[in-house]
Amino acid sequence: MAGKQKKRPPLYLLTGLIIGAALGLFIGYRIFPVQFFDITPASLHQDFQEDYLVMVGLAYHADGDIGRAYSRISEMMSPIDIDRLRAMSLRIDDNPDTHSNYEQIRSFINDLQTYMSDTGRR
Amino acid sequence: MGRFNRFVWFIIMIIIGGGAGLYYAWYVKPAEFVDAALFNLRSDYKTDYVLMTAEIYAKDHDRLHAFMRLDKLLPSNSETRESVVEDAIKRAEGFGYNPVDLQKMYHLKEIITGERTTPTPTHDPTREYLFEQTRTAAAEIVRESSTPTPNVNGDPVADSNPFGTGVIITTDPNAAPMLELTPADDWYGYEDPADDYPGNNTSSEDQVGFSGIPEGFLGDN
Repeated sequence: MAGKQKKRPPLYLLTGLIIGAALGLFIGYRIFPVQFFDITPASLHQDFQEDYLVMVGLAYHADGDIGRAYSRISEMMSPIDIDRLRAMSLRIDDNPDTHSNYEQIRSFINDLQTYMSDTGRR
Repeated sequence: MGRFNRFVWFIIMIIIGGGAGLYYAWYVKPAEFVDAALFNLRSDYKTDYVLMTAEIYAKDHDRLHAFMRLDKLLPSNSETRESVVEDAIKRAEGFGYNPVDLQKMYHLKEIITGERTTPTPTHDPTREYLFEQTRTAAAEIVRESSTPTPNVNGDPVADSNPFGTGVIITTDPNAAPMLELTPADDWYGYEDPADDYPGNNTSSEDQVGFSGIPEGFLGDN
């Protein structure tokens, strides 16, 4: 009557591994997530992207270097979407803090569009 | 004993699984920041942001807005505008930013700290080159004006303006003639020693050319 007992697989090992992995992911993503990793202008909040656009536009009007301005905008969006930049400029116009910069930003976007069509850049 | 062993191995597997989970969350696929603020920018982008602030200030000299822009890079009260700009300058020097950009950043730091840190330019070869060019061009104009220009028929043409076109002379024959020159590029940090500019309240006798040609230089023939 006595028979060999079936050897049960060590499921407790697998269970421990899964529980540990879940704990590790929870701690790594929620409790102690990685800070300041690969933060580019593209990852900025929309409001701060508008601030960044204002900075690039004003810096362009200060030094006149459209190539440098193009590189900076490329870090925020690639390929550059002129329509999206124009939409951002309208929000800049609506914002009382940045309203005074609207004309310069509009002029910068026009110059950027000309530069991109002249050089074939996107 | 068997039960105790199983328990120990269970704990060990939890630790191994936890390590694997953390490795994945921190190195393999870390959380990417979206909707981040300007102070979350990577250090090289922060450096460029400070440079943009310096470029804008160099043009409009609006100290208030320059400070407001730098404040957006301050994540906490532990950092100051001065520390942000100093760190940016160090990184810029490490990245090999060109001297003109570095000069602007140093100037920005000056307005924050109130201390002069930019080296005073004692020798500007650009200005000396343009001065030589101007002096040579002026001498050529004087030499040419002494020879009447013949017209098509070969007769010399009386010209009331011996210096020809492109040159302005004063109505006072004793005063040194002024050359109308193209202003040089904006030499950042250059301090023009010429105190008298056309249009300022100076007498015609004291007027000098834009590039600082000494008074009476052209009238010394």
